[in-house]
Amino acid sequence: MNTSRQQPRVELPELDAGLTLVDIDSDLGVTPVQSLLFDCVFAGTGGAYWVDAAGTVQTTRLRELAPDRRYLDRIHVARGFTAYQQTSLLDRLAGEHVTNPSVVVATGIDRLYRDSDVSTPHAQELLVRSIAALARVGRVHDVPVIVTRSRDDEFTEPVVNAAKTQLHCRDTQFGPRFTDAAGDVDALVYHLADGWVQTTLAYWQEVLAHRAQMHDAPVVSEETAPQIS
Amino acid sequence: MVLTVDFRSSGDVVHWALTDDGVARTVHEGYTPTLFVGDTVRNLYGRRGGSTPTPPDRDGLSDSLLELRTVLSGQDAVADIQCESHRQTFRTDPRPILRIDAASIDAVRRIAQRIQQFNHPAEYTCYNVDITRQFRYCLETDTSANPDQSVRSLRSLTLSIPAHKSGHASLTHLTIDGDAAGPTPEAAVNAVDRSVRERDPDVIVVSTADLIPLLFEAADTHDVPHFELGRASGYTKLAGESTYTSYGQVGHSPARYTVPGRVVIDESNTFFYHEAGLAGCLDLVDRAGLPLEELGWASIGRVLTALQIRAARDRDVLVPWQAWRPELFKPAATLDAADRGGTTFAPAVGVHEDVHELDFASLYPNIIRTRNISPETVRCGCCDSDDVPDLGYSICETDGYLPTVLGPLIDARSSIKDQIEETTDNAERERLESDSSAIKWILVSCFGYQGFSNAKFGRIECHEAINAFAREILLDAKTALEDAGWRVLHGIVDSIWVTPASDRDQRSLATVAAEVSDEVGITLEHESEFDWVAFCPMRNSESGALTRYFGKRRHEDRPSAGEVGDAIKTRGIEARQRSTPPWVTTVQEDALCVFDETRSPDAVCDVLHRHLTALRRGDVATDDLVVANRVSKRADAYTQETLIVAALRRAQHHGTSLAPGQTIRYVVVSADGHGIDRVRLPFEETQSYDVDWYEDAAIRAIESIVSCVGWENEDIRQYLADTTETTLESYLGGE
Repeated sequence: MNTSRQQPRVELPELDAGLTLVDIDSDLGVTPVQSLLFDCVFAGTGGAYWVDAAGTVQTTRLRELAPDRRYLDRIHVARGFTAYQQTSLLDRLAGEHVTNPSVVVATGIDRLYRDSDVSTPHAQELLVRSIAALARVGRVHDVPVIVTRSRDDEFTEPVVNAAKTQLHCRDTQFGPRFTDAAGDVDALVYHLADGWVQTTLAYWQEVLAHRAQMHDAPVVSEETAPQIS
Repeated sequence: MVLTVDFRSSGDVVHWALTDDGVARTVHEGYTPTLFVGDTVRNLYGRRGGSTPTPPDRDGLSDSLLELRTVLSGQDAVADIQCESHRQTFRTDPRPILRIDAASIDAVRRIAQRIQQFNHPAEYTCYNVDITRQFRYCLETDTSANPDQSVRSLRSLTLSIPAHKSGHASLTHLTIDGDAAGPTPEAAVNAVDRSVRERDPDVIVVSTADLIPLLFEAADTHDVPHFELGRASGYTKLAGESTYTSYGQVGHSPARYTVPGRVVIDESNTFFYHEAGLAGCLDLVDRAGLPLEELGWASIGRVLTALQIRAARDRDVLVPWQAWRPELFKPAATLDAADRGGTTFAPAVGVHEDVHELDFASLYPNIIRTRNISPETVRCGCCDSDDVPDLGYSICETDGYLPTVLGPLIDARSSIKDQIEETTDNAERERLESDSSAIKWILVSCFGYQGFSNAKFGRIECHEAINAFAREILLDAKTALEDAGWRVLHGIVDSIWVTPASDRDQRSLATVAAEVSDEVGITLEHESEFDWVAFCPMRNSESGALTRYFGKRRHEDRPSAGEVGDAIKTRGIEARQRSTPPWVTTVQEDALCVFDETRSPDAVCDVLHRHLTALRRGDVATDDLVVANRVSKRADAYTQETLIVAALRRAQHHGTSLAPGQTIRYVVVSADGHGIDRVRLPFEETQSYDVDWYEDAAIRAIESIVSCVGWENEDIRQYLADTTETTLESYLGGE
């Protein structure tokens, strides 16, 4: 392990093709998922496709996190505001509009299906259909598909069953840490050895700037090069 | 021409129309409302969806539609099934789909729900399912929704009980067109029965729809023979009460009732009747084609939807049931540019002399009209042009349907405004203002409605495009005004405030406004001239609040001492807020008048001091201290023991439960006290009140005014303390 002050270890879990369910400690918000998304964009040649049903596509945060604004052109977003729109969007991912993705993200996959205007059996069917659509996109394009849910309960059991990997991102005293139940993944994103916790935004900005340079140096401009000390 | 339409359980429909001396009743036997079922979600909105959906070609019905046809044929709810061609979206051609005629009005939704449960969950798209029944009847039978007042004017009757009363006993407080009906429930019911028979009203306005079952029950209890409210026997409950959330605000919609042959308007559940009166409602019935009773309880969105449904039908486009159509994928960079909302310039906090306000007339509707913005034209997919500023969206060259919906309303409003200017007849002016107000609300809301997820034909990209144009227009206007020697003090969405820039010559505002209007294609009007305008800071901040200001209109005199009238324009301060007790409003308006005369915070605080002295002496009537808050949830759902909770519990204690969306009124008698004893309800006629609580409220209202000259809450309190001392000294004769 390289512990030099110039080259700190910055780790994000490497995602396999197919469905990965990520449960995140609520204190951390959606930023860990946005970071995984950026990381796949740095490493790949295509873009990211993000279908949001949780109201979490806030471009302010994406803009602040992006080591270079040009990355925002490679992230394609669409928001479902009703359970029906979300179902359409997840199916649309399998159509010709989506070309050469590096990663697909679906945040809050269960949220709109819990709305009161959808009956429970119908909601369950729509959820299962949406999970199947996502799994298909992962297969067809051979890319990671990141899924988050708004609640861990019986309703979202089908997501757990369909996921190849289930990650948990926890807020630890040394910084955010991704683990999986099988013990295959254990990534402490960036070790805050001195216990000094920076603002969440500054922390992830540094992490991403570092990852971008690691994968994709030519795109990262001089001014935004990592300043981790 | 129809007054109202009744749906009988037999399936027959009764259609009522005005005649010279009464009404004509026509029975329409075997009316079968129609719904449609079309392609799978996948082929229209899913993987074959997009700007222009590309469903696979077919001549007849698809296999799954054939399968559905077989399943539905012969079911009781279904009267007939045919194959017909219609357009399922604005961007697809007519295709063969299933037309289902339902056996009755109630069967429509039952059939749609069965279809939803059959096959895969997104196998079918349904159309023309959730259209309100009278509106549907008018559409499908090509009947005008207008009652045609050229035959005769409508007759109406108003029945009211006080808001806090309920149950049979409340009938002793019943009024008929303002007159007491009778001292006992029995006498009241008899009086209503007599009035209805004598007057034969076309419209019954009730203070609450609950009166309808209540009157029938009471008639039963007291054996009033043949009691009726309608032109045939009985009444119908159309919908139960419910609570809903819209734009983050909780609303309450009470149960709805109707009676045969007459229109029922529930004053506790109507927007347009309050805004525009019966005349304005009828004007809107004519424009939107939504029958009067349904317009009575309709939201603005529902009227806008009715207008859109008519325009869609003109183009053979069906009305989708569920909101399957999603937004298109867009780069995060574009969303970042699109998500910025309307433009505002931070206001220059403080008092400014010689200020002019300029407004773009109906900016958003006019952007839609002049820029051809419509759900099927924005990012159309067929035109490769960069039309929307900053976003790069294309707008189709083909005329959109939304401009054709709004165009006539924009023209009507501006012609009504001209007529208001010209008329010398007060009754005529009042009627014109009602019409104008009803249309105004539709125009104001059409922009926001485009961004509403469940809007039938809404589209978030239209919302984004309108915003982008509005930003560009406001910024261009700012530049033009600055180039002409004016200093821009504030700007928000469609309004700009300017004052002459020091050390510069100004070109006339009329000339600059005309140039901007020409350039933009939308009129920039010189809205108001002010002797002075004060922009307030946000509380606990030095930055300007966007919508808190007040100013003295030039050439407008105040009606008399202490009255603000139209002479002082206020926005966002306490006097404008519904919840503010009348006494606090009076304190603030008195202070505004003194501020206008003196511009002195000391003089304003003297006004406050005078009112506080009266308050402490107990001289303020408790009627003037009533706080009116909107209830946002049920009493037990609040987590903090606020005054609203105390008032809600007190109302419950008196047997009245208020639902979210309703308004609770109370007087604060002991803010620091316990439970329901902290407040009194208005009908309890309390004589006492919490002096300190109202003093704080008055000080905050004064702070809103003097904050624009840099005074804070502590400065006011210090001044009051000094004044009290001075007064005391003068009382004691001084040293």
